[in-house]
Amino acid sequence: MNRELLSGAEMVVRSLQELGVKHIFGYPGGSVLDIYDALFMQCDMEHILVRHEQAATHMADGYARATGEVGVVLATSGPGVTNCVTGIATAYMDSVPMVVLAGQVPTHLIGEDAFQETDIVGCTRTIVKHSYNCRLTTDIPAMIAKAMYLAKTGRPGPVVIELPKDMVNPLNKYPYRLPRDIVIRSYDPRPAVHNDQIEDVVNELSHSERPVIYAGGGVVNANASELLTEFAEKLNAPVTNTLMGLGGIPGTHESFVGMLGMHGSVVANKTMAKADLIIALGARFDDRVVNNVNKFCPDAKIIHVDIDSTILDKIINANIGIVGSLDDVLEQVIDHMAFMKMRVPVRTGWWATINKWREESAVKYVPSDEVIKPQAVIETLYKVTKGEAYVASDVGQHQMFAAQYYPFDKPRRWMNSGGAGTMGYGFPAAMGAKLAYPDADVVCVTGDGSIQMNIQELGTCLQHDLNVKIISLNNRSLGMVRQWQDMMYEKRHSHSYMDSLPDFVKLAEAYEHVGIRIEKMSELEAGIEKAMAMKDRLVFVDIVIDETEHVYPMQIKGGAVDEMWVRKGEKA
Amino acid sequence: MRQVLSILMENEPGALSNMIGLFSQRTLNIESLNVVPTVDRTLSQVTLKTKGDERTVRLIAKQINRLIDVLSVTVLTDHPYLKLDFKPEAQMEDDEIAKSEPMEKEEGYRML
Repeated sequence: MNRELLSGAEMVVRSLQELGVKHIFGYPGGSVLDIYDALFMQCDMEHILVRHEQAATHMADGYARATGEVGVVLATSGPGVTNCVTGIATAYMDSVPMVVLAGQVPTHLIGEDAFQETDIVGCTRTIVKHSYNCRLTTDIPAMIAKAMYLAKTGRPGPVVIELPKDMVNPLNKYPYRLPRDIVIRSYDPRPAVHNDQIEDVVNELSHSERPVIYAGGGVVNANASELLTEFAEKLNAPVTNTLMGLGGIPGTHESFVGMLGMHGSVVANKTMAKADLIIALGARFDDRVVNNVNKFCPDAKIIHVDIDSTILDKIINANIGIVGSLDDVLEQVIDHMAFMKMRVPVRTGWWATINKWREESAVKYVPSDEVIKPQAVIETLYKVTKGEAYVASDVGQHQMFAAQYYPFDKPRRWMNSGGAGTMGYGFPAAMGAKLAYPDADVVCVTGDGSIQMNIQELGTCLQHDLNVKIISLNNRSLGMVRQWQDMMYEKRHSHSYMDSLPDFVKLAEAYEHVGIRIEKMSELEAGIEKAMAMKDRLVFVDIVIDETEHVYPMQIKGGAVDEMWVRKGEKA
Repeated sequence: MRQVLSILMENEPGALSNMIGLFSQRTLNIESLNVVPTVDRTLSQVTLKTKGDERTVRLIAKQINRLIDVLSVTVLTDHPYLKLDFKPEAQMEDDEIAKSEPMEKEEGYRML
């Protein structure tokens, strides 16, 4: 059979096209010019030219989280790919499917400190799911196919492919073939779940009086949110989500008790502390959830399901640990519950206790007419967007307020850097989601600190018509840092305030966008409505909020999961 | 506690480096390391000795197993094993050499 002859650069482009990639996020440079030339010759894929490579990775990340598809990044060697490192780490910590095509100097120069040479595979070794060094042009299609497959299956994650310039030389053409079936002998993306484990789980479920379902980002990744809701209803158990799992069960569902952890709801943390059975689904007992490991729910039995075996028994030992994809496991558990004719338990006492906690903690903050409270901004945003927006947040107080006050009824609506805590993530991530869903409302909830970490992307939005809405909670300080300094450093605000903020309205206008500044509570709702109504414009809404506000509840360091500050100076 | 791990992995550049990083990240020393290609030249057999608490080594073993290039990991110290105490002749005092039986010496060196 005569195969088409293609250069390495053409193979890169053709393979991506055949694998269904529609968008690439990147920035050109010396070592990837041949690939950019091949990109120029086609029109199936759209390339988004960013202003900084870090933003390319976050855009690909936001795109991937919103769609479940792999986000693809293209960057040149040296500084191009080192700029991607933060974005790769962010994707790795939050299990986001991503492929980074990294340029490299020609093979004969590798190791000789050539111009723009960095060992990017070495740099990213501990923050990737896998990486490939290309040393044979004909390997390129299989390498890309494998990278896409690895990124998306099992526990998703970023994969880096290093492409030396001589491997993509347009003058050298070779037969092209993209493998259809990917087999990696050492890799099992869907481990089989054993029946006896399912039986053990259902047995525990039927004996538990006070169960709680603790569901994380794995539910979203496995597209198992409907199954989770069904499971919760059949078990009649409360559900708490991690920061990453929000939307895994509808945020307005009556079984949902809120987010748990450091800034989780009082109800969720108390429910965890008093439960006799914790069913952890696609969650990893992160330190921001558990607080003090030694005081973590000593009376509860633990069922832990995760696709990644290294998660089990890493922090908290499980009584039953299952390695498997959550959709498989939940389906089998629900089936077996039906087979065992397990009735929906009433749990009057358990729900009465939970509802009592709900009543006690109903007032979450003190509203004000004088100053704009950050919580009020998120509540207003929820009201104006009817809870339907895609929300990407940066990192800090505004992130926690968004997580607490914007209930998500659907998965993949909430994008934030949960594991890595990357400031500057939100804006480009929102742009990625907007690219995936041009007709949807996409909002970036950010602060005056975070937004400035990737603010240059206002230019990318102008070029590619990405009309996101930026809701910036401007407190003239690094709010979360300041909060910790207030609480733990006797209010010594070491470098946590900014006394040289730009005029964000003028800045937005300089990029031909719209800027709105809101300073009074009475202007808040109308201002946000006005911004959201401008569908075909990027609107930067700079909202001057109360800079003294803290995020509560907050777990007390070193305490049990339910030991919390509920407001300034008051413990739960 | 001393632990011995046996690892079967792809005979690929970078595979070993990915594995070694998991030890250095947790400041664990590797006390000995042996890498040989197997009869199937696409695979390498690694035998590695380290010292660390059981929980940490067990977690690292799982993380090694998660690496895409790794086919299997066995913590050898989990299984029944034969342990021989011996000293290489060079480190022995003269009277020790005189006292030691030829058979023991041979066994000792065979273990090396």
